[in-house]
Amino acid sequence: MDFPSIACDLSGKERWMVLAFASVSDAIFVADTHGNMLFMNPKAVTLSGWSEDESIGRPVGDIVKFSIDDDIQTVLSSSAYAPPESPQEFTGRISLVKKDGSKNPIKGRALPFSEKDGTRAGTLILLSDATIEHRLIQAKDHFLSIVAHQLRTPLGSARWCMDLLLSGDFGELSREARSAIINLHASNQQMVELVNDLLDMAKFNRTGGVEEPAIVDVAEVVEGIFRFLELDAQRRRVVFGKRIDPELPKLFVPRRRFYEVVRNIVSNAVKYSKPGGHVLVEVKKIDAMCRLSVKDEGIGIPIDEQQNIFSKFFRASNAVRSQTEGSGLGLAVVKLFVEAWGGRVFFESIEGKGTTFHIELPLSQSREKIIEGNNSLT
Amino acid sequence: MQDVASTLKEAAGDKKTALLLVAEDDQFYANLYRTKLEKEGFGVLVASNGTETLDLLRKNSPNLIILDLVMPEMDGFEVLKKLKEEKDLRDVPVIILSNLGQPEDIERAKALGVFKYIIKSNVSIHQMVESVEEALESAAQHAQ
Repeated sequence: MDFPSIACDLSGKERWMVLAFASVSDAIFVADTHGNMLFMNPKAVTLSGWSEDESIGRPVGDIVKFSIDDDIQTVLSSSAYAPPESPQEFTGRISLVKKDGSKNPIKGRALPFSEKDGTRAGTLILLSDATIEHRLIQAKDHFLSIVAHQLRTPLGSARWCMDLLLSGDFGELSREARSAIINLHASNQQMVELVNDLLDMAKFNRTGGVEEPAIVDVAEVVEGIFRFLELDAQRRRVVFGKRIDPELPKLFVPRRRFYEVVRNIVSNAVKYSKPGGHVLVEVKKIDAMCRLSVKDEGIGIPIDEQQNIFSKFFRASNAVRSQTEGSGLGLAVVKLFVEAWGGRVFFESIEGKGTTFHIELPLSQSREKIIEGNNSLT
Repeated sequence: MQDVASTLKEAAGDKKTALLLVAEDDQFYANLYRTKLEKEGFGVLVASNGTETLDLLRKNSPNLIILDLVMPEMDGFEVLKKLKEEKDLRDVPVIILSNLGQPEDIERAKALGVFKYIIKSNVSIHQMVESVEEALESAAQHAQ
């Protein structure tokens, strides 16, 4: 075993640590307080393609370059190097750009460390090869894409056929036939949404949401959702209300996802309302957060089941009795996304009286911070 | 057929006489497209694979193509690439109506210059018709 050059100065007692560094399967890079390379273990040499001799003393950003999707991005650049204040995770679709320009999928983290007196001493960067994981993810994506396609095809054509039946394109229907087809249509839609929920969940696990954030007007989103759910609400004799702070700044979130997240909550409120019940959407600023609350007067969530409400595939016992359809994925997806945007989701509920869901999202969040938040998810 | 097609093409501004080419290999879907779109007054041609799509395209100069992605022989992406290479076909607006819907599929199709990407199972047949009308109107405006 060749000892790295730095080990020459070390005492025998300390050499076991270096031996450990040299033997682990993770790449270890150490930067000094100026952001220059201080140490690389053999795995770091093979992973990056840079030799120790070339690297020691050079800015870390010359050697450690990351690529996210196709953008080559130097995370620790020589000119603007500031060791991260707190540990940093590298996950998602990230590759290390090797010396020869080829890419190697990785995951890992950067850990700042300090001297005994607390002054910053440098940064430890640990990377491991994620080639196999990335391949597995690709295989999973491909599989899911085919499954979704195959499930959607019969569901989609059945839907169109029922659309035509209901719009009278195939002639007038008897009242009974019409009502039967409305029910068929609803359960068919449930299946379509289940496929979409499953894909959402899978997509999320892969990238943490691919859609780019945009400036979103919450009031507009709420309007759109009310329009979308109007028929449902009428059928259940549910009355919509809203109270939106007109001064509220706009949010910076992925628009379509945000719409889906809010729609999910509002549609639950409608679904579990009692006839004649009110659903109130309130949006206001609380400190640096935007709080969107959806209050219903519905069946509520039994107290002993409340802790499970965000679990995948969980549905409260009274929800199952009141609405037989539902995948139990909706709220799990909501929670994943809201937390990825730096927010939180919580609720208050009394069984038989109603539920209020709150989504809180940071208002003054900078663009960079949100995108970083997306990338740090696995 | 050529005459009918060119007459229809001249009337591109009048959406109800436009000629549409539907590339769809699923028979159930193909029949639904034909039923609904003919009822709306459109001329409808149906191709059931990529090769047939290109054949019908070259022979008939439709005003709009509704393109499925997963098709035998030549898939929708191939068809898109080929038609963008041909001067006479390049400007025919294309709506993708597919049950594929991964972000990469959508990005790939948009990069090839499609007017709209719609996941079939996520829209009603009436919304499909609206999208067709919207695409034709937009194309007519561009032509002016």
